[in-house]
Amino acid sequence: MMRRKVYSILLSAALVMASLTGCQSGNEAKETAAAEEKNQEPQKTSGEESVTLKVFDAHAYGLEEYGEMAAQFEADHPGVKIEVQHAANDSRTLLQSRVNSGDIPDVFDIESGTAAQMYYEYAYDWSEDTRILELFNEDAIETGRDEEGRVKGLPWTYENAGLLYNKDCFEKAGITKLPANLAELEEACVKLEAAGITPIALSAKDAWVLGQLSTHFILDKELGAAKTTEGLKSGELSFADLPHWENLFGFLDLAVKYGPDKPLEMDWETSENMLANGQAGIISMGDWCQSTLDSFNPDANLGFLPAPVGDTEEDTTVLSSCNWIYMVNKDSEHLELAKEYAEYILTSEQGQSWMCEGVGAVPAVKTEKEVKGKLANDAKMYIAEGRTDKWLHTIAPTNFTATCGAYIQGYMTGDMSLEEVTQYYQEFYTSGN
Amino acid sequence: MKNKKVKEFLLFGLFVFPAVAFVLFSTGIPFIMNLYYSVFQWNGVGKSMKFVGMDNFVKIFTNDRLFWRGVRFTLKFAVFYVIIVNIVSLAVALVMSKEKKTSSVGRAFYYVPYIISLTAISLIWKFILGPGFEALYEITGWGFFNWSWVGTSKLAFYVVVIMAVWQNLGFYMVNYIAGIIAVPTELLEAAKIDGANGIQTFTRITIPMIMPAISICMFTSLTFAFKLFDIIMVFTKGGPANSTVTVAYNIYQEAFSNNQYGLATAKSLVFVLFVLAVTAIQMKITKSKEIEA
Repeated sequence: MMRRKVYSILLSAALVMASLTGCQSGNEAKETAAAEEKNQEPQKTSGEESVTLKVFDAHAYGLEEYGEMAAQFEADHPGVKIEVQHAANDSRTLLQSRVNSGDIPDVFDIESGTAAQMYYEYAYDWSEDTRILELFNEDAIETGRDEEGRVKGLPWTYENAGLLYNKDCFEKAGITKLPANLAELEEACVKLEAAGITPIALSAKDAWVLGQLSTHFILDKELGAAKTTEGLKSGELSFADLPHWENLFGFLDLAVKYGPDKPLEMDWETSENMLANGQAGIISMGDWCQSTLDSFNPDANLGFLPAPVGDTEEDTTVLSSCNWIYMVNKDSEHLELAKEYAEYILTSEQGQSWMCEGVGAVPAVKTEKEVKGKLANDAKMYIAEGRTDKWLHTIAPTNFTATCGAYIQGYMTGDMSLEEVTQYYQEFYTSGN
Repeated sequence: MKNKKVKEFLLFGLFVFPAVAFVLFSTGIPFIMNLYYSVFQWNGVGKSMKFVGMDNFVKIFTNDRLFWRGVRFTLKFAVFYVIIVNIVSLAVALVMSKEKKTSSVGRAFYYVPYIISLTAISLIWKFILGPGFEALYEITGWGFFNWSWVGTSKLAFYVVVIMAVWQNLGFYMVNYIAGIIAVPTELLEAAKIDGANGIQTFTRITIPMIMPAISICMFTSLTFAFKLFDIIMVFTKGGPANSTVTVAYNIYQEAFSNNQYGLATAKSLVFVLFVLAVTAIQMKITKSKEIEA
């Protein structure tokens, strides 16, 4: 009898535990919130009124420099506290849920194009602030304009997307000329493999990488990024007619053939690590990952390999855009302060060192400052030669990279055929989202 | 006499009110809001919504490949999960309900995965299926260890099933142990005296006597399977190639990635009706088998 009582107590304890841990899944969402920069103690000191500026930052690059920058702003503005949430993953979801719950950050950044459109009605209109707008490069400002031409957000940095390659690996394998078409790419792959290097390490586990990769093959250089996208959306252009579209599948075949043993298990971190440490020759990414690459190997000798989409070097491009814009909540209680902060992080000396040194990217603001990132400097060459075009994936229908990247995964696993992938892309673009 | 009844009712209401209020606040009100949103087209952020009537529902049934793929995956998962988790946990419970010193250690062993956070679990499995299997492959040379478990559509399904079973086994085990312990020993002894063997006592006495536990476990495992979301979110993200997209994950994507909030709420309504119907049938069947001791 006694024993049974003990058991029943044990069991009820266990059940209570069970019900408590039932809430566990809810903690998931808080996980990213843990990445929030928690400043020590809320200032409860009496008397002085304190203002808290809520900032949402969709990046986790150059965090140290960001911290210094924010601290400097606080020091210059006594009584002001900057509360930053850095959201490296799922930034869109996090921002959306904050807006939904009425907790709209005073300053927030969002990818320009399709994603930013949803937030235009919350954003302060900078069109009148010519003094500030003049600080930026003209083309960068364009990315933040809405349909009526109003400036709804201030641009951050230029980002270049494409294939990245390890120059030392190429040298070791005896490749002297960058491959400009698929046949040359295969030759390079053979050489790399012979040198004991994984030739292509696409992070195919992350659908968005594949989605971005495919945009190189979507781009019709004659039309340019915007016109190609418009044509596809309206149905005037079809994927089957695109000049380089079919080469995407040739490229994917190579990526599977000369890729890692389990291609669909490669995540972006592993692929960046392999590239930085000379274990992989080529990956698909962009210069935004410079600080991650540096953390794996600061001496890595990396550069851009314009995607070999066609027959000759003329067909190859690096895609370059100013694709993040900072918006200021127009209904903010501290509108002037929020504007000042946005201007400060994007144009001030501290802001520039955050972007140039912390992130390692070319800022949208006009500057003479030297940029630390090797990739960004490498991309300058292509920009100077005019071998760049704007990004396509940010102006494609909502959630393009994840949705269409999954189709590419299907092709790589053999679940989907070339025709199916083409058809699904077509349907996605004309869905009207 | 009447006064007493009113008093009782008030007292009852007083005690129940906090719970009812909480449930209404966290489930009832959102559910009604859900009904409202489902007839609108809304991106989840904007200040204005467009009334579209039944369009969202029409779209679900006519033009939503991924949703139906999710439905197929979820149903397949439910069948595998409910059967495996119940059989395995009942077997474990039978062993662990014996009053031995080892059994308390064993119970803890099976219960631990249930209380560690899913993020940790996902890391553990990432390790097992990655470097763990790699090392085992090198030692044993069995091709089995070298398969791309999370990189192949078919295998990813089994990984999800195994992870879910492994994680939740402890919970069902505890329920079954509670049921088994409550089986009156005199019944078991009487059966023994009558000459029943182990299998006979199990099927003729234990199973009927633990029917309430079976009923509960079937119910919770079924609803868990239908609502499967967290493992997908943390571990596979629906990949590779959308092969592990569940209904719940598809709804989440629709609302927060595709920004089709109205469509997502419409989907969740369809889904709620479906889950309600299935679990009602299941409860009816298992309840009818329960007996009083």
